[in-house]
Amino acid sequence: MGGRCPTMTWSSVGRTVRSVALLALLLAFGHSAHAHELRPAIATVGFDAPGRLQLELTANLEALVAGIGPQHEDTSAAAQAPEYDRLRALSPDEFRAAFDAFAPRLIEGIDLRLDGKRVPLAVRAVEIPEAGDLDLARISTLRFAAEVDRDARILTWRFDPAFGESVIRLAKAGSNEIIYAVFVGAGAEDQVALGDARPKSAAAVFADYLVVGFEHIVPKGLDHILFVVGLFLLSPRLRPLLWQVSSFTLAHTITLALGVLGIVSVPPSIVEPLIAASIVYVAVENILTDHLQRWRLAVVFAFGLLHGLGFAGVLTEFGLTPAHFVSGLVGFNLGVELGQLTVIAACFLVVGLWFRSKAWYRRFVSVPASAAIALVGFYWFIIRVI
Amino acid sequence: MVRHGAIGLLLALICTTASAHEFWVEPESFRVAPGERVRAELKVGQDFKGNVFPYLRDRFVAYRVTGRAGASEVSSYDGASPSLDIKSADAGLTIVSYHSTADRLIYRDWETFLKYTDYEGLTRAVAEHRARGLPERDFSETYVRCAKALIQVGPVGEDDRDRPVGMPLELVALANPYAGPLPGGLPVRLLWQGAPMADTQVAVFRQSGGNLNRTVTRTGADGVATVPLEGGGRFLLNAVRLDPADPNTGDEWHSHWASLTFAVADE
Repeated sequence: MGGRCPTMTWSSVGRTVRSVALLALLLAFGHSAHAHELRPAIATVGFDAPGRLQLELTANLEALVAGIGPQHEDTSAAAQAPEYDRLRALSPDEFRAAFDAFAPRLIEGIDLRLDGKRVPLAVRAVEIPEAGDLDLARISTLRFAAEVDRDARILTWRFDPAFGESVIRLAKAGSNEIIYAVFVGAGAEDQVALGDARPKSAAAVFADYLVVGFEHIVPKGLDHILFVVGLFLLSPRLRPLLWQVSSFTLAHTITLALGVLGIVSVPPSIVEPLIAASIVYVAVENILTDHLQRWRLAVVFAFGLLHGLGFAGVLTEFGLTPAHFVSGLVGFNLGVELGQLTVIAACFLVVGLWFRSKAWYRRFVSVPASAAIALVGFYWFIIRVI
Repeated sequence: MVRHGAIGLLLALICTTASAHEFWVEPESFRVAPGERVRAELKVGQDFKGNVFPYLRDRFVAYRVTGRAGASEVSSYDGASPSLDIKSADAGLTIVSYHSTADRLIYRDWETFLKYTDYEGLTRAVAEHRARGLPERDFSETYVRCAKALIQVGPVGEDDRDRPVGMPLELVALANPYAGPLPGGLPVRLLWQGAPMADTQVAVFRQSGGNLNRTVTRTGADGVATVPLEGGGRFLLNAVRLDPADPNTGDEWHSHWASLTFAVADE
């Protein structure tokens, strides 16, 4: 050792093959006494838009640049140690220069493929912390970006064996949530379907939420269905129905947006019983009167505000990514709307079309149906309050 | 920079490589309110100063959180940091424990082994090594890490005591360091396979106001050592057990590293 401090190397006897491959290469650097246990590089792949891939890599960059990797495990770690230590002590700017010379080699060693096609990575940012405490390893963050095929589905990851172990992770599109993470031994390969990491176009998000909105009314939203049926039963003529539906729609659109934006928040324990109460109200009024009162429009508007808060609760629970906020919100609201129109169309086809001109329509259709709805609404109100 | 370089040079000249690496659980806060998040990093380094070791499923046998309601496995995703990030349970002492898989280190020269055994109070191993007729270079040791941290959630209750959680080598605090002043120090028991382990060094790292000091104490016949708490701060205890390795493995030595972290308010 020629007067130098002793050197030692650590390796793994983990039970699995990849653990055995090698771990915890501990480097005791003779000339400065800094010993940093190596840890796997962590690679996170995400998309900020269709076809725009982002790769974040956090790693002990000095070890990569100095060439301290698994192949040195036994004998040659000491050979790179002085270089590692020199790099470790550099300021971020100085080390950046050393890294830039190494970057092409690193990129060559990041074998990232989408549907088998190599992703052409370009360094977008290098975040190197201050040298700080030399007793600690410095973990830097590299950000790469690449234009890729927006229809790609399968990701393949392989980190050059010389760079050691890695963890490959996928972030959900439009969020930082990690939906996949796997440890990859030195030289090993991992393949994964992009799934929810794959960003959707605004049109696809719109279509998805349209379906969610529709399904929230038909078949899931029996309470909303009964409310709309209640509006229908007031009068078999089109005009009162249009007024009511427009008033209701305008109102729930407002509170849906305000609720999802978090500007207005009312707990479900208040909203849900009131929605039940709104059903009782319109049904009872159908029995008491046969034409549209002016104040009924105001009341329907108020109930629309309530139902909108209920919709907001559903949409918030379902999740709306910031990247597609508007298309998701509009899609959902339109889906709700289509659901309601479907209910009205069904009512019209079942009873309205055939019986609305009959003298007995009100007595034998509207009043008994409204009474039944009022009872159901009252029952819901009770169980939602308790 | 110049000063740093000078210190580096000095270190190089006197050649004081501490060969041991402690491994510990480092909570973000040692006291949290019920319902708050409990976060902790795994750390590896020296003198209570370490690098983050991320959550890696392959690297541990058991990673648990034990509270009043019992134990639960820490689940996260590979690469996660902090590796522990959970909502705290109701009040109680929360024990975080991490039992690693085995790793191997190779001694390239005799001096490294001498320094290591001296630092960890394992000097008997040197004579044993010679008595076993083992080579003085290129021999290996496998090691297992058994790290533990004590976090107090909410006020201290009567039953809030540290207890063995089933790691092969384990430090157990015999009093709750969060319960109030312990003028006589904190008694801790070192357990090997559940039984008290006598006459073993326990290194005490105390970090307070940017200062670090290291003292050593030894366990008595009952496996108990007393940790002086004067001055308070954050504490890391470390004890090493070194055994001859199973001859079939091809290794010479097999070690277990127990650590315990907690904090004590300055009285």
